[in-house]
Amino acid sequence: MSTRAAAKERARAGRKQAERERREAERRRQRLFQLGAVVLAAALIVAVLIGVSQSGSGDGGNVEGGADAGALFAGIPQNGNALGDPGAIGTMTEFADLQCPYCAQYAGEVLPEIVREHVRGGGVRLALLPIAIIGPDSERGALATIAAGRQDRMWQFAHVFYASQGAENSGYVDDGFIRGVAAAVPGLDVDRLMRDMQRPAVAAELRRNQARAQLLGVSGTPTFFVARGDGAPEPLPVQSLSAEAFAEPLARLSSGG
Amino acid sequence: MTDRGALIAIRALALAGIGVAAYLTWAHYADVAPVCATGGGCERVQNSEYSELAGMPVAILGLAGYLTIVAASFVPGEAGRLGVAGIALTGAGFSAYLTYLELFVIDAICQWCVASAVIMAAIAALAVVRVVLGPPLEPATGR
Repeated sequence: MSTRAAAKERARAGRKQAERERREAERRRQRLFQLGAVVLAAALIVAVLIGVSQSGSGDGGNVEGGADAGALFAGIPQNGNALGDPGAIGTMTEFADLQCPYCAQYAGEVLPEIVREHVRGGGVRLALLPIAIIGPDSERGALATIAAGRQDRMWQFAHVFYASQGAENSGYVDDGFIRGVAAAVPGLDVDRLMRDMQRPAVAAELRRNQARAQLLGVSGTPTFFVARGDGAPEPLPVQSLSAEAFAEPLARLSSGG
Repeated sequence: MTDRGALIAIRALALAGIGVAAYLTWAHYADVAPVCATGGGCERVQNSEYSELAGMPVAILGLAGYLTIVAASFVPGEAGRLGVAGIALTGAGFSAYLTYLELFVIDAICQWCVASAVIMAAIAALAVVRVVLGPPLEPATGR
């Protein structure tokens, strides 16, 4: 092969190489452009998913009853599970399962009268001991209620909870429900309550309530006991869940009789 | 890593992801707490309001994502590469959001969810590399 032919061949090979490189660079640019479009599309889809997730969470604004609870208990001292004057002569203790419909009936129809007639006057102090006997939702409800007691708002929380009860053991007492109930209670720090629910001390308080209920022979809810001063609790048998049924024994309790 | 090696790794990771997502989906519908090495973290995350998206468990979304990745990995050409990358990037982005929720909102860690997030992120990284590098060069024709 002559020198001239060899030079032509080299030039042709060079042109081919340059053409290959140009095509490869063009393909790379195209791939990067496509990747950018894919990243953009993925980011948009993620943004939509996050939007849907956020709209379904939050503080469950469909829960009502907070205003009623606020008015019912306004101005009455609360300390943990206790409602009323710490110096009251007598204490009525209620064992309650937050899922129990009778507890809700008592809280809605009878408790307001008891609070007005016997607690506000300073004669009777109430103590609420949440226990779990119906199922897993009861346990989560009890833990949340005890956690609300750590912010001295157990009674408001339980009141709103009862007003929002779902079907027993349907799994309705999830974080969304608890947040919704908590958000309806004025002054209750929702995030703190959710954190407190996980604390061993709250679980220990529930275990103590359960043990105490067992010791006292509690087999259903609501079950009531009364105690004078530091005296031992005595069962308070009531014929019906009505304000009238509680009126006489509580009047006797507040008078020290 | 060769293109074929990356493809095999993506399929293997997606199969692992299917296992994790299927287990979490089962735990959701069976209403049992997932086996958890981090105390009650998994149960807490599972019970949180963020465990569902528009009424659908997020575990099912993950399962659907992994299955789609496996299917897309068998589509030839650029469409297959871009499809896998798109799904994996979406999954990794949403997994990052869910991990943020675990750390800063729910205040509990579910190791299965973290495992799924890591798997999805690894698939996304491999898929992006495959898109950037393109198909393997065809052998020269000799002309």
